Amino acid sequence: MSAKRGVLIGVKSIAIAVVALVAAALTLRAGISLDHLHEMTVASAFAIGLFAATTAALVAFGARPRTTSRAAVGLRDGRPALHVDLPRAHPDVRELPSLVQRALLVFTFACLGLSTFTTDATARIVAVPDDLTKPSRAAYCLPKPKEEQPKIEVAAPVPEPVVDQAGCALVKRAYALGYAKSLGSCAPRAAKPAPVAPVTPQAEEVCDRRELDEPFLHYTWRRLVETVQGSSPVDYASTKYRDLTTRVDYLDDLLADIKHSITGTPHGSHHIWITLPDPHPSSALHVFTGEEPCTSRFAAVPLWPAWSASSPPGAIVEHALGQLLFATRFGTPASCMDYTLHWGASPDACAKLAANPAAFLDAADALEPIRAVLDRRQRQAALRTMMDDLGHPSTMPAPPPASYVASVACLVVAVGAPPAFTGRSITVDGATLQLREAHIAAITPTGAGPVELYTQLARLLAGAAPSPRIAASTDGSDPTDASAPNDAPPDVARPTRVVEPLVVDAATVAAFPLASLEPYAAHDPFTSADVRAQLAEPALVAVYPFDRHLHAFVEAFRRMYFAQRGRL
Amino acid sequence: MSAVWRAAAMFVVLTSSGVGDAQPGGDARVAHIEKALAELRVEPRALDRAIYEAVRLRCKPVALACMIDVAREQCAKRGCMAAADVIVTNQHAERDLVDELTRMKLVRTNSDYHAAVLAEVREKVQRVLAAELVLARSGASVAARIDRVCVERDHVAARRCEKGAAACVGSVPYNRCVAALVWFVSTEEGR
Repeated sequence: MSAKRGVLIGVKSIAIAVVALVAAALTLRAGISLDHLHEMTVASAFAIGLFAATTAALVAFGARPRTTSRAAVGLRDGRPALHVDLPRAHPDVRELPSLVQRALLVFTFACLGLSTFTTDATARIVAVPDDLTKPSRAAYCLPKPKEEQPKIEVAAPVPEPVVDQAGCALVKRAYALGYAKSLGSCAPRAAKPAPVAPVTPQAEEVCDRRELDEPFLHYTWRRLVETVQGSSPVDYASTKYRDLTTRVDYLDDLLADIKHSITGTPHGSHHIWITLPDPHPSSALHVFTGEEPCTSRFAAVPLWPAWSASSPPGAIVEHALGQLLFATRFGTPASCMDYTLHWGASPDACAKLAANPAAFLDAADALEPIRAVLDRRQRQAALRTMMDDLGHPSTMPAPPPASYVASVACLVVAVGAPPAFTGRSITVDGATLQLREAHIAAITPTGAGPVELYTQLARLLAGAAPSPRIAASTDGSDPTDASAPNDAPPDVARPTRVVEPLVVDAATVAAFPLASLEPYAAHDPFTSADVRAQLAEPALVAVYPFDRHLHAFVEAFRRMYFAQRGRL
Repeated sequence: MSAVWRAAAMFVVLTSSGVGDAQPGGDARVAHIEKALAELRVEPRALDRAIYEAVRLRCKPVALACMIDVAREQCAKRGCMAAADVIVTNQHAERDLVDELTRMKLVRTNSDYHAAVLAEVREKVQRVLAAELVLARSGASVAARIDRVCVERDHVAARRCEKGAAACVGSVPYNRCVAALVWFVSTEEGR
């Protein structure tokens, strides 16, 4: 004999009621109100009604509102309890009336339809059949609308502009106040109006696509005749056969090129071995969160962080490399996906690399990406040769040298070691790559240390440190590198500014600290040892105008570096 | 464990309130800005005009050292060195903040060039910086906020503007940013 459970409410009714409440709440939260019903079009209302009725009917067919649920919620000792596996048509289970359940289902899907079948969306759905059957402009000759036909207009006479004389504002004011009897040479003069170019009608282009009323077979025959016109069928067939055999000869290259595109082979592979510890060591947490991609890491690096003596040297080097190569604030950056920093390298890494490049690169997991890039480059060259053999003008640019798309470098930080920069060539799979090595003393995080680091890294990457010169901008915008090619017309002189001396008097600096900083805008720490010496003062470093100097330095560096290194 | 949570909560409170933002010389900079704001409460435009006219008369060509000497003489008796520092910085920076074409246009179309340049700098530069100041973290004094905004602007964000972009101010050195904001705050109507 089963225990009396009291009133039980079927889970079906509970679920339908909760879903209806949630749909109503979301609809109200989305801002849909009775005003929307006033603005609704007939098509939109029909779509909502059709959707709600159809979907509710389908759901009701499966839910069977007239049948009581086999699971229900009741009260046991004052607490709600779930009762499952109840017999069919249990007398204690209560459900909402069937009509109410169906009405709630319709209401729920109507709420969904209100937010989905808006006026615009419904209009687009209604227009789909017309859009599908509309003849495409690419396949058919469509008649030009009347407003597109060019008109020959006679230009209206341009009113003669009045030329104002320079420096006449005071004279005009005096004349207006009655202090002068005439404007004299400041009287407005009429300038000659600029000649108006006559509008000439453009020749109409003859459309050779299919006409709207042209039968398909006629169009096919017309295109076939045009194709073979002027050549014999035998010559045409032999040309096609020769093209086919040529392409078959380059089949490996074609397939390899497609594979490179599909599998996402890198377009460049540049590796730098650094003897410092990794500033972002992997941890067990990375198994769940993954490692931060380089694009995120370098997306918003600060310009000049306030490094301290406890800052990890690796972080300082990584930041400087990021600024030099990947920061977008200095213009077009390199792609960080093409670069790999190998931290914790041994001091003799480059010696080992030069002795046996393939073995060393393979041990560092660098051989495969370099080989992939070199192969991709080789395939591009082969496809370019194929186009030449086919007699077609090549649209692909000639691939750059192998050393442009792949490179290796070593940064050795050795306390007390004299700085040294060397370079040599290595061969990987028959391709010549550049190997550069830099030995530098310990990284100094404060004072002029970061400035020195930028110069050393630039020398490692580009082979020489750039020598930027700050040029005053002509339009009040950011400063530019005066050593950059001048795009201005030859008769426009680049403006020059007098470099004012630094304020060195301590009393003046104390009384006018803001004005004393003005000359630093023109004194570049990257080129002036005197200015670098002053950066030993932390208070000066905190407010030094690094932006304009670093901007010019990085611009000049990238101009040098991107001429040597890049990607396919 | 509760001690660890207390330490973590203290860390969060300190860093969010800006106490952890101590920088070398920060206190001295804020003190100077406060002094400039206080001195510029009394007839700032008159002092600016006096320094400008004196520089025009004495400094040929206009050089920073001469401008500082002029400002020192103007403030020898008035005790307005901090205000003069702001004014000299603003006047020296005009040529970089306003492009040559605009300056020539202002010369042609205005009888009072200096007032026209001040208005131009106010509209194109100072108002934008002031908007950034308003959006900066609150809770500290105006001087501290000016200092923090200008340091972060130049050493952290270092934003760039597209050429011709309206209401966008790119790279501005710290001293010019401070001078512009202090002048704007001091001369805004209703203050």
